[in-house]
Amino acid sequence: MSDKQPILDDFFVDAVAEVLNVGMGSAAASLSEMISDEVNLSVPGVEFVSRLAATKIIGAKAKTDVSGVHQNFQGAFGGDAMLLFPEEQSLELVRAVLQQDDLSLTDLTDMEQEAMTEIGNVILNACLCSMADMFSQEIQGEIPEFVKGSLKQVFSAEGSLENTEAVVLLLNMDFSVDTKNLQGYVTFLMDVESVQQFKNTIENMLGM
Amino acid sequence: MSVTNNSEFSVNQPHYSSPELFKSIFLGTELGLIIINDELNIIEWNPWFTKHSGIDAKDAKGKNLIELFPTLEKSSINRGIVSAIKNGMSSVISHTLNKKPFPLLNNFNQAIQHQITIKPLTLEENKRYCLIQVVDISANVNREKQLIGHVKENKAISAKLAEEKERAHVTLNSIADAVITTDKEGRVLFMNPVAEILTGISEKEAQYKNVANFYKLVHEDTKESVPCPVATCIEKQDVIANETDHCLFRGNEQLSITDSAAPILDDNGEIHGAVLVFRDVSQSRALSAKLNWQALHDPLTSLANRRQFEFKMKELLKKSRLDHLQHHLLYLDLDQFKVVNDTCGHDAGDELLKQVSAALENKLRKSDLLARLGGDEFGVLLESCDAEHTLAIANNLRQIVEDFRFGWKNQSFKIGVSIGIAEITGIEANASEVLSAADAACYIAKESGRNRVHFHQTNASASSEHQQEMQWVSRLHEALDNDAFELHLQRIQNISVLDTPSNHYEVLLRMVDKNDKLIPPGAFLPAAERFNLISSIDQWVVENVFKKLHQVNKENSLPDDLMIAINLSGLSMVNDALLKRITDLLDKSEIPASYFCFEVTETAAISNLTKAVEFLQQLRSKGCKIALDDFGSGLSSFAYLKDLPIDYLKIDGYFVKDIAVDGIDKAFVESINQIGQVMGLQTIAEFVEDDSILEILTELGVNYAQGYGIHKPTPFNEIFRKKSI
Repeated sequence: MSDKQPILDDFFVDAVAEVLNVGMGSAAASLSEMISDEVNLSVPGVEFVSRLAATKIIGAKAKTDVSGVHQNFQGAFGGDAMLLFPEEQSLELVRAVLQQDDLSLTDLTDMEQEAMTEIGNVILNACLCSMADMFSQEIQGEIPEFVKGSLKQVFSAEGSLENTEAVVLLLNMDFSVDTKNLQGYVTFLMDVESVQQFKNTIENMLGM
Repeated sequence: MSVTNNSEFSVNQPHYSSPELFKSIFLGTELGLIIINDELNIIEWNPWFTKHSGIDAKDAKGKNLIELFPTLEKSSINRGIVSAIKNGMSSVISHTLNKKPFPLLNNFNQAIQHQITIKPLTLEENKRYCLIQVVDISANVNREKQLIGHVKENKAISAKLAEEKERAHVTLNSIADAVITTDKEGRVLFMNPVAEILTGISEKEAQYKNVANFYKLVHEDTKESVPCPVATCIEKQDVIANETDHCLFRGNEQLSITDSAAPILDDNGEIHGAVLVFRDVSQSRALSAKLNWQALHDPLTSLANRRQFEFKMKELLKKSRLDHLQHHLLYLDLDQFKVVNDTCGHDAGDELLKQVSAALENKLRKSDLLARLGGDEFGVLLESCDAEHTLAIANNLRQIVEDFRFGWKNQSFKIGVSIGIAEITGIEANASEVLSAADAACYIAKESGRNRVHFHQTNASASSEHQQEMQWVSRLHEALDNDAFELHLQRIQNISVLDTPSNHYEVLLRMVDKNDKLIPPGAFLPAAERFNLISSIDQWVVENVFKKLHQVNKENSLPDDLMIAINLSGLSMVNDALLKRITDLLDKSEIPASYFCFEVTETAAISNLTKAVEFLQQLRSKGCKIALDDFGSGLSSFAYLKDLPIDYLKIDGYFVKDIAVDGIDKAFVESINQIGQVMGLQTIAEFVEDDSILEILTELGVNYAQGYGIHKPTPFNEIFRKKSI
């Protein structure tokens, strides 16, 4: 599969983006409530790319390590969902949320990682739920976990997909809180079979 | 899921049926576990929850979770439960973002910090349940709090350290002292900018080099090298402070410095290095050298000052007591210095002193000390110099001053010096005794007519001189009491009418001794001046002149053109009582004031010019005439003539007596006469001893002549007896 050859037509992609933006709205509402401060989330772009291309795209933004939240999901289609930020951005995100500007440690502490996990969990659950709702399909999300490391390490950690020609549904995500604007990515890593199911599901939904 | 078939359970392990196993886990686990159904009613409630919430399982079961804990309704837990039951999603409810959602307490009644995970459970087909799992993370939270606390503390400490280091650095860079710190081997660790400047080597260059390599000292005076204080300080483990005169080499240059080195010791007294502090004191040393110089020298002439002179004199006195060598002291007083100072100003006076000092210094041996003792007084100490040589040196100095001509703004001044000599033999009580002996000798030299040398007579001769002087004092007192004086007159002849003897006389005084022998004034007047008897004598003269004239007037009327000239000394001119006495006499007397002329010398008049002018003006206002005596003997400043209220100018006989043979003297007299004439003064030439002199004076147009060639002094009474005949 070439990087340049679209995996899904633009038509499908637009539909996915619309669905995800709805999910982001509910995630933002939940987060705003959680931290008593206005949080805005939006997905300006969605694309299906190969795993390698996803690594390149995210790698272009994240010069250093990335950190984020990983959540496995199963159901009508299965895979691994990840919310990733360049590491310094994740620090900024968590500290903006927790309003701990005075603490200038270079790493997230355990408690901060825990908070980051919940934030990621809310976003990823919202994405998954909105898709499940839209397709009226069952998707089950596992307990999320905090991940950190180089992009390569993070992507290769999802063992079951390592040797397959996995495809990535890549979402650019803008996150704004407390006058800070941060850019992160949500990736849905799926095997070819799952992608096909995903595509079928969309076709069904659109009555094609 | 069936566990019983799981091979992990070995036959050797106790065997439990799976429901029992899971039940025991559920009951015994250190996690809080709740299972709720899709209506949020509690299905299971494990003992951990009972223990920490205080709610028994039987009270919890069947109850709606939100009703049991109403605060959960608006919490993330509710959202997680909905998400699990409705969408099958798992959630993490973090401690950080959700502070203690369940009211749980530990054994010590402290709130439990907890983290919650919510998972969907499918226990029956199409029916979702939800597992809520609570983990006590109090320990983790506390540990992290502590860690963060430590981190913050460390940060604060390092910030403070950095600040202190910065401050120390700024301080060391700002202070005026040079500072170098070394390790215990004496190798440079730090140098401040001043240290870089003073050593001429940069901190970078000096780094880790032994400080002794470039910090090289020598003693300022001996130029012997001095060990580096850092090495000594490290060796002795003690502070080394050097206030003495050390010089630091900066390349070929030497800087005067003071330095100190202190060991750097830790709490256990172990040495870690040294700190060397030094400063450039070149300027202050130069200043103190200058101050020292100033303390011992006269700033104008750069000669030794009185202080140094006295110090040296004391030393010499001490020395002479041991070595019995002969030393001499000269006391020099310039003649006519005051004239230059007063007529040309202090600048001229200062310049004259400088030039004379240089001229004198040139003629002295290196071992002799020439000092300026006061205004125009100098002292010379001649070490190991006998009387003969001393006299020769003194005369040499006198000659130099006599030959010296001081030029100032087209004028040339001639000065002289009177020198008194005193011997230092070791028997003198102290230095001031020697100095006053020389001073007295100088006074005698001056009194004897200036520009001469007088040797102070020591021992027997000194006391006899003293006795002689004392004798004069008593004789003068006696003479005044007994009127043992005689008045003589010498005619002052109007040259234009030589055939008619003028009725113009100068009164001259003679003392009459016990044997009726007449003593000339030169013998007793110096003593009279010295012992302040001169004004009394002047007064005696004035009173007796009046008395005699009264007598004459009674017997015969006095000639209309009579003019009696009376000498007044310098001291008399500042004597207000005498002035009053004279004016009283003039006021009361029938004799017209116009018959009197008062003669004062130039030197006397200018030694206290203001007072003298006042005195003379008073007499003149009464109608008396004033004559300036001995004009030309001193420095004859024409400038004074304008200031002094005078009528007659008496040309010093010194120029007159050789006028017939000496062209210079003639020219001198001529010019004095001319000036006098221009100023409307009557000129009188003294010492007119013969006709040849008189002839020249006539030719020059001098108005009056006085001297043996004209008229020899004759007793007062005789003149008027003659007159009356």
